[in-house]
Amino acid sequence: MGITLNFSVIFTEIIFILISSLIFLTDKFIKNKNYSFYIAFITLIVGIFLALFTPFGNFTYAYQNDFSSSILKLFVLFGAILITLISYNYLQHFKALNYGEYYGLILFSLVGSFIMLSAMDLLTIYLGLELMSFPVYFLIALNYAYNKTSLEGSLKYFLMGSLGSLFILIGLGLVYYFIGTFTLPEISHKLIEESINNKILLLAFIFFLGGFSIKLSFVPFHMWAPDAYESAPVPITSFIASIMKFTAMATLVKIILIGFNPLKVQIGELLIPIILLTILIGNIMAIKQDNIIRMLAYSSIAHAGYAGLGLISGNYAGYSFSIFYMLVYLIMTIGIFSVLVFLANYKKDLLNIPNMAGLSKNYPFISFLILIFMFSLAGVPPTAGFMAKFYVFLFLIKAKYIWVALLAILFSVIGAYPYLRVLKVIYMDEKDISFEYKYGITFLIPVCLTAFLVIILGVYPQVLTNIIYKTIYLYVNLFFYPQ
Amino acid sequence: MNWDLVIFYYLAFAMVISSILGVLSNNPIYTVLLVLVMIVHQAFLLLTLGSEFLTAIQIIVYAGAILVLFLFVVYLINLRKETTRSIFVRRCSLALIIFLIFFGMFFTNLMLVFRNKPFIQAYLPFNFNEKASDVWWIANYLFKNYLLQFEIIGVILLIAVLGSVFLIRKVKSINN
Repeated sequence: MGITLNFSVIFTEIIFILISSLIFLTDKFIKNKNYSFYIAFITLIVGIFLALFTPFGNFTYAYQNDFSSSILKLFVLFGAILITLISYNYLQHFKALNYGEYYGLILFSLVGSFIMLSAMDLLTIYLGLELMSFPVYFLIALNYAYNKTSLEGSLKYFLMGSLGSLFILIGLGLVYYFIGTFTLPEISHKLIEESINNKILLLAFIFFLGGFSIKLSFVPFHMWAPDAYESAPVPITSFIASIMKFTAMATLVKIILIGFNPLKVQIGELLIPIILLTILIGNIMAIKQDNIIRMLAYSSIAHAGYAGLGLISGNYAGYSFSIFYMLVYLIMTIGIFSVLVFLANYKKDLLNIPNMAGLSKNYPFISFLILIFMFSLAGVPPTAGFMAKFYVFLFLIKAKYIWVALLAILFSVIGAYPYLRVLKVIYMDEKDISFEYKYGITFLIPVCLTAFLVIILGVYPQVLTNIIYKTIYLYVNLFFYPQ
Repeated sequence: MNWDLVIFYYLAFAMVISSILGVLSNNPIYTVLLVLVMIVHQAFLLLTLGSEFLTAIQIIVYAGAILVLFLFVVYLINLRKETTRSIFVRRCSLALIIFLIFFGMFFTNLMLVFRNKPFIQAYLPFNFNEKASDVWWIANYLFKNYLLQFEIIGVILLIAVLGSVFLIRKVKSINN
C-alpha cells in the first residue's frame, strides 16, 4: 500500500484554517466587529455539509476519515454552533472582548479537535491536542479586560498543559522504543502477534493517560480547572468544559479501542482508583463553592469521572456509552452556560449562588430552565443526565464491577447536593430582585434546543445511543476483520 | 571498552547536568549559556546516530539563532538577577518525598523491563547505506510520510505567533 496524499479528505480542515486566517487578516480594517460572527457561523454550517460529504479515505497513514470520525465531528460541530451563538450574545454586552480574533481562535481550536478525532497515529493525536488547546490559552487570557486574574488562570492551564505534553511525549518515546511505530493499528497488531512485555506498554499508556487527564481533569491533575473556568469568558468556559472534554474522551476511547485493545482489561483495572477519586473529589469540593461557575467547574471534574466509568468496564458497549455520556454532558453544559451568559449579561453578581435568592418570582422562565439543567446534571429521572448515568452504571455492573458501581452511585448522591442547593435558593428563599432584560434570538435558540434535547433524550434516548453504539461496534468489526 | 557507550554516556550526562544547572542558576545569562552547552551536546548526540544534517540544523538554528535572540532579550530588559519568592520552597520536603516514591516506582519498573533488552537501540526508519545521504531521506519522510504532521506543526506555530501578538495588542489597549 503506497502513501496516499488525498487532499479532498482533509478538505474541512483546510477550509477552516483558511477562513480563520482570513478573519485574522481582515480584522484590522473592519469597524463593525460582528462580521466575524457571521463568517464563523456560516463556516460552521458549511462545515456540517463538509463533514457529511467529504469522501472517506486516508491522508498518509496519519489521518483517516471514516464514518466514526464523521459522526463525532458532527456532534462537535453542533456544540460549536451553539457556542458561537452564545458567544455572540455575550460579546454584545462585553464589548472589550468583541474582536474578530475571538471567533478565529475558536475555529483554529476546532481544527485541532477534528484532527484528533480522525488521527490514526499517536504523534498526530498529540499535535492535534496541542492545536486544540493553544487557542484556548489565548482565549482565557483575553478576559483580562474584565477580570485581572484571567492571566493567572491562563498561565496555570498553560503550565499544566505543557506538563501533559511532556507526559505524552515520554509515552510516545516508550512506544516507539519497544514497538518501532506510532500508528494505532500497527501497535495493536504487534501487541497481538509478538510477545512483547505488556508491562512497559501499560507504563506508556499511563503516560498517555496523564496527558489526557489534564484535558479531562482527572484527579491528580484537576487543580487548574476551577481557576481557568472562573477567569475565562463564560462561553469559553463552556467550550473548555464541553467540546474539549468530548474530543479528549472520544480520542482516548479510540486509543484504547484500536491501539491498546489487547490490554483493555488491565487498563480498566488501572483506571478504577483514578475514576473513583475523580468523582469523589469533584463532588465534595463542589459543595462548598458559592460562585456558580466554580461549582460547575468542580462538577465538570466529577462528570468526566462518570464518563470514565465506561472505560473501566472494558467492553465496547461501555466505551460507546462513555462517549454518549460526554455528548449528553456537552448538551447540558452548553445549556446551563447559555443561561449563565444571560444572567452575566444583565446582572453580573447573580453568578454568586446566594444572590440568586427569589429569582423564580419575577423570572419564572429562566428559573425553569435552570431547574431542567440542574436536574439533568444531578441525574434526576426525566432528563438526559439520568439516562446517561443509567447506561454507564448498567454496563459497569454487567462487567462484574458491582462495588465500583455502588461507590459511584453513592458519590453521585453526594453530588446531587450542590445542584439542588441552587434550586433551593432560587425557589424557596425570599428576596426581591429585578433587572431589565430582553430575550434575543441568540439566547432563545441554544437554550430551547438544549432544554428540548435534554428532555427528549431523557425519555427516548434509543436513537442516539444506537447511533453511537453501532458506530463503535461496526468500527471495531471492520477494523479487526477487514475485507 | 565500548567507545560508543562511553561517548553516549558522556553526552547524555553532560546534557542532563547542564540542563539541571541551567534551571537552578539565578543569573539569566548563565542559564542561556548552559542551555547552549546542552544544545551543542544534543547536536553531537544526533551526530552519533549518523544524521549530519540534523546536527548542522541544530547548531545553526538553535545555537546560532534562537539562543542569540534569548541573549538579546536578556540584555534588553536588563535582567541582572532573578527575583525569587519562597512560595514553592515551603512544602519542599513533602514534594521531595512524593517525587522520590514515584521516581523509585518508575525506575524499578523500567529496570525490570530493560534487563532483557540492550540499552541503546535506535529505530531509524531507513537504512543509511541503501541510498543517498540523510538529507534525501529526511526530505522524503518529511514531505511524504509525515506531511500532515509537518503542516500541523506549521499551523501550531502560526497560532502561537498570532495569539501572542494579538494578546499584547489587546492588553496594551486596555491599559491605556
